[in-house]
Amino acid sequence: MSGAYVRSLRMLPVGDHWDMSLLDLSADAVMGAMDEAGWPEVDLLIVSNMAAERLLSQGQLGALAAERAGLRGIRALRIEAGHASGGVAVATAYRMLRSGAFDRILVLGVEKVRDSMSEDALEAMSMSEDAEYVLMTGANMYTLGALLTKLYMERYGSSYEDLLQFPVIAHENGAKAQHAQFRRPVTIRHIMESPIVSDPVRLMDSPPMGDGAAALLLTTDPSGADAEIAFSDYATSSVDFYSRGDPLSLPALATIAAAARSSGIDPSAADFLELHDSFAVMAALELEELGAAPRGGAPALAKNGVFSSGGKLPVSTFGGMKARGFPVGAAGVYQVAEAALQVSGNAGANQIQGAGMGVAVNLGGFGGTAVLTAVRRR
Amino acid sequence: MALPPIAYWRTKRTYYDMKGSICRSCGAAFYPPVKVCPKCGSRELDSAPMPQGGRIIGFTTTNEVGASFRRYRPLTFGLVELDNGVVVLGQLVDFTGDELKVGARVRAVIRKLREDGTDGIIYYGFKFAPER
Repeated sequence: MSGAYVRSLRMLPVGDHWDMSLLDLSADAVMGAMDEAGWPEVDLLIVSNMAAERLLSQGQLGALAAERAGLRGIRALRIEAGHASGGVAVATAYRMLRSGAFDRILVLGVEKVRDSMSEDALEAMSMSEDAEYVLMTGANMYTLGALLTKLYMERYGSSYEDLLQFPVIAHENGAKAQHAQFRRPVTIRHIMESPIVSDPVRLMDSPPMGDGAAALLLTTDPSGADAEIAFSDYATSSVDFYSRGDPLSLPALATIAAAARSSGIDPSAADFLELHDSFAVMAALELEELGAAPRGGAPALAKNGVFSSGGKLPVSTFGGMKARGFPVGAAGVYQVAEAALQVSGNAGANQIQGAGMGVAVNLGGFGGTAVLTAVRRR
Repeated sequence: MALPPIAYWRTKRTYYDMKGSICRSCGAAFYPPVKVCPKCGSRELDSAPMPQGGRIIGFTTTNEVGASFRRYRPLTFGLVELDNGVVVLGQLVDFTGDELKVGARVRAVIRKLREDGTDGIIYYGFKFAPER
């Protein structure tokens, strides 16, 4: 079987791109990655996006993005798996390359939410949940994130402030990242002074809204590549977190982490983790499901510095979903690009010393889809 | 979140009666209804209303809501464990003072969820009120 290597990548800053459309963002990211690689022939363009038809009335993103980016005529398709769209796109490319079906696949994650009113963007970003039975009640992603946060606090006796260590760490890292949406450190007090979106969750502990596009050129040819995709796969479980038996478990992530371990990749032994930390509680649940912290123990380890950039297991090294930002269907592509920068020693001010292998976790909603991608130095 | 009126019409019995599924093979109950039992894989399931009583296992008040619910905010939601063990998400209504707490008994009631402007349909469904 062939390997899969990161030949080149491009990430646009996440944020408010008032002067750029979905396809402008797409073209810039694709052209950036292709310029770096010298425009080799590409067999397939995979576009990951969650909300273009809901917010922009736009379909057929594959052909449109290919055309605008100078790749007219190639195979192109779009993948949607809620907030996990980006991770699933990378995992799909990885499998196609490994199988020998194709030699070069360009993965483009792109999302345009800031053209819309925030209450419309909130509805679009909540589409990972069941429309008929959950969204119908008026609930949205803030509601579900808040319920999970409270369940965690009650079971483990944590305070909300304990959990807020995670956005603080994310912002410390994001403050140094060129492509981050929020480039400033924050304190727990700052977060507690932001409005409550759904109690106890504060705005600064909720998924931020931002546009973004990131492109990865993945190849079977290792020449010119200094990062290798060592594992990328995904699993699914009940989309409603409260229908899982234990609402504080992430069964899809447990399934895919076990698969990674049987392929020789232990996520808890990675040099760093890119987490799906759109709510602080999710960072804790992921670390605990991966075995990087005991159940209920992630906030205490965070407080001791274990997950900070100089710690034993740094997380969200460019700011994660909180500070780099959460360009919904593109977020999973950003994570893998960031991991590739780390293992190739190109992470600049965000460089983790000795970063040989990193793992990215990308979730759809609250874990209905879980993607795990391991990137290692070649 | 604007569900098309026909999708709502098709599903209204399951909203009004909280109609779910009970597996004939393993006895597990599910809401929303399923075609195949997620526990044992059986396709032999009976449609059955869920019990109307339950207890709150978690709750939150959501201030930031989607455009379709703007005029009703803030909304308070509960995770309710029904008396058959099924966990359901729904709005909490009619709570006063210190009634709203984890462990409180609730009963399902039919209430208006939202109106679709002045010309559209009125969406009804269950919410949970305190059991007094």
